[in-house]
Amino acid sequence: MINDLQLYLTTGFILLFVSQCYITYILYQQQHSKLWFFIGMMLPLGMNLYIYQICYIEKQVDNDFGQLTGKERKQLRKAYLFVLAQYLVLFALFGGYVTP
Amino acid sequence: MNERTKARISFFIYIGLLIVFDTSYSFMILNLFLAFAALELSFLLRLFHVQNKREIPMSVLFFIVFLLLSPNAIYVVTDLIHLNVFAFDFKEGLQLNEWWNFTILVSGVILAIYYYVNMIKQVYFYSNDITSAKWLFFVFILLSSIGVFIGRFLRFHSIHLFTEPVTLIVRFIEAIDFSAVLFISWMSILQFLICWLFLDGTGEAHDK
Repeated sequence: MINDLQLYLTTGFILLFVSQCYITYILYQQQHSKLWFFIGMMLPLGMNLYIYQICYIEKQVDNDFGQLTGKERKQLRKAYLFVLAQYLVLFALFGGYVTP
Repeated sequence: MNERTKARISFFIYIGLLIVFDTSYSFMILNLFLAFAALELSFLLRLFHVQNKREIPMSVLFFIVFLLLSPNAIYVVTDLIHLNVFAFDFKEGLQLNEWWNFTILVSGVILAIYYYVNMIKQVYFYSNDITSAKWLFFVFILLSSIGVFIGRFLRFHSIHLFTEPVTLIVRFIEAIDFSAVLFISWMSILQFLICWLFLDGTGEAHDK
């Protein structure tokens, strides 16, 4: 029978893989560069998106996301939610060890 | 250098220092990370502003996660209690180890206050209407104080609201008494004080 830890680990792995692929797809689609494909695949836990945000998004729109096109905005919202989901699973794993 | 860049540079230098050097406060790596994460999420508030009905589920999920993480910024201030692991008996002369650890902990707290102030700015400016901005600000401070109480005294983390929601709510209701209300009020006063001192002029800026 599958226990909680195995369930969290499996969910975490699937989430990590799917979100890495999705973020890599976005970065490659925006930049058409092998470097961003590499960064997208290799940096986990949202570091890929974070670096992209610092290098491009903030320079392009700063904090005014209204300047993004509808498609860009939709893709970014999904990508950030994927990253949040990764951290939630990670914290759920960590939370198991710090239960009061 | 803008505030966001300052926050990032200070965070990575601080975490680097804690990793490289020996201190008694290595738990600050996680605590400051959570405070910094709350700040970074606050910069995304406008991205998750609802523009049509189909966006509501994703935005609600984001706002819930942000609300759960946000008390971590002010929570770090309460980590000052850990200074009590040292005697600070100055009559015995200068104990470098004590003051090194003092510097590490207090600088972490100062950074957390800086992150908190910038996060509050984002929350305040989220709403375009000054009246709703003030309400949002007030409710946000109150929820943060409750979050600090739950984290500090009931020893729950934000994630327990997902993994053990019923236990958390039951324990919170059981723990609410006069002392708890006083503590929550004092934490709120502390936050209002920080905002009053460091966010002066925000109201005028909002009106423009």
